[in-house]
Amino acid sequence: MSKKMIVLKSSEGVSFVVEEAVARQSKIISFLVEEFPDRELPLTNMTSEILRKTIEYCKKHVVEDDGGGDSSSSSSGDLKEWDVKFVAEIDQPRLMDLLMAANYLDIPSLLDVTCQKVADTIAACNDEKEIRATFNIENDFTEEEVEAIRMENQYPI
Amino acid sequence: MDRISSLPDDVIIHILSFLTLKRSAQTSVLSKRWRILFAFSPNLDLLPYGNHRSFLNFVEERVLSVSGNSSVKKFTLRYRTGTRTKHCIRHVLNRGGLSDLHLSLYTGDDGADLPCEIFTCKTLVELKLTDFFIKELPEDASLPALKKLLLGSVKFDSPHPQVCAFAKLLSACPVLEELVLDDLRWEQWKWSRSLSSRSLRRLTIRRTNFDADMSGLGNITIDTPSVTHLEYADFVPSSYLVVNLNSLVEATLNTVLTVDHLYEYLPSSTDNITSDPTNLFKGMRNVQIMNLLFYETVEVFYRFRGAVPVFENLLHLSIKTNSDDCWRGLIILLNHCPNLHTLTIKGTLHYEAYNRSDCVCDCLSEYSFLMSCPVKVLKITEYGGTPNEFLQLINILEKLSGLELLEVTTVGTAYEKFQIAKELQMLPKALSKDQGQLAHHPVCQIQN
Repeated sequence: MSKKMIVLKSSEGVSFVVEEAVARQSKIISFLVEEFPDRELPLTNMTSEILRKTIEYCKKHVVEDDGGGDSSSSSSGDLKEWDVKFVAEIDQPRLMDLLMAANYLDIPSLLDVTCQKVADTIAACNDEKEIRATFNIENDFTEEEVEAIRMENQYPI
Repeated sequence: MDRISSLPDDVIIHILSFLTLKRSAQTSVLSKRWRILFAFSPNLDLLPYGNHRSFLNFVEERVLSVSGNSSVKKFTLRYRTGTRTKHCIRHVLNRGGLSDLHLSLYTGDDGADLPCEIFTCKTLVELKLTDFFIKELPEDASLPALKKLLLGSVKFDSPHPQVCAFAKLLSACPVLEELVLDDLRWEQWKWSRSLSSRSLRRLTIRRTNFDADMSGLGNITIDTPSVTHLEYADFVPSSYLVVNLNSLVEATLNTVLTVDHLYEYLPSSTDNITSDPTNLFKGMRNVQIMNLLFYETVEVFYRFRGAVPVFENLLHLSIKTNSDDCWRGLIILLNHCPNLHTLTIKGTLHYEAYNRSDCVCDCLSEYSFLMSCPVKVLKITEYGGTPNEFLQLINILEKLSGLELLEVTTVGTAYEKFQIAKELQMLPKALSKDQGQLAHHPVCQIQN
């Protein structure tokens, strides 16, 4: 039996033909293919590059149940390792794109992986100045306001 | 606005939920956008710090009161008890949706500061309590979603002997799958001495301090018919009334005997042994994998050799021994494992008599116990390659007629390991010279 395929179209109009089981890890796509079968799905706010990355992730994480059991294509330990490598190779702007894609398409595990990576980046910063510099966050507090918050939040040591 | 700050609130909060509260609170000074978001994290891990009053002020005023009624999924609090702490826990419970609760509170003598709402929480999946004294559970105690319960240094007591708080807690958890009991000192409780759960799959009982008087331990019942994995490190009580471990797959034991209710390393035959593992052995008879990580547990099988059942299903036995640890306990076990496939010697082979290096221990004199041993795989995790060891290895291999694989991990310097490996490669020759009737020679795998 041939596998059911669907077409996802990026913002540049590039079509990606994907196995339905792979794409269905997105709760949004899963919903859409049920409502609109046989249609290609335009993802107008996703670039080809990010869509390709997202599909790469979903392909790795698809649970194959045509082999008789509920066996994932990889063991959970291998998958974790693969995830770490997957996000380690991505620079920060693309990581943010991927995180937003995971949020938009509603792929909880990809959202977890990308959010974890952002959290690790925050945790690796020495102070808030470094966090601001890393993410280009503009400080709209006055010095006095920062001091006041620091006093009330002084948590811990 | 920058990319990260323009993410929706719930996504930023999700990012912050991967940080400890100490770290996430730091983000409140980044910009106005970030001012209060950290307080909404569904994962609150609260570690105490120097000034108790300001810690609680922070938790109450800057976290809990800011986030209003948004539900907390995981709540961890390591702190001392008190009215405010109790209020804080109650507040989080009342918001609904709590799934993981870890409390490590330093209590005084009574456990009055543990809010009883914990035991009626419908959403809890994992509960970890450390350092508590639980006297009474609420009448309507019910934890219908709880799958994992971890109790560390928790003391239970019962105001009336017929109402056992521990038994009541277990019976309030109909879908409990994993129970971890760490240093419970249950010999000091007033309780029913019965550990009973139909749903439990994994049971861990661990004691780290063996310096205690066990006269209060009494007769224990372990009625857990669905348990597949058991880790049990504790004193053997004076008897087990009932042991139901009918689904057991893997058991890791470090059970030790008492003499006059006190710990005794390797009691002698004249000692007044106040422990009896008979029903535990019987209850474990379906086990498939057995790990004995302490030599004294191997000895328990010798001491109570009359009570050892036939372990029909036992495929993998792993024991910890040193070169001078007598194998009489192992021999008893091998005689009761007709289908054993793999024997792992965690440590060295036994090639010395206790306190003597010039002769071999009596237990090995004939090696006849190996003749009927069906083992196909023998693993030795520490092989030092001394002449005595090599001789012993040959003696053993000659008798194990069904052996297919010998897996040896060598110890020593790189050069020593090289020499040992060279010597072990000569094994098949040495074997065929001494013993022509071996049907086939085991494959020898050497790991450095």
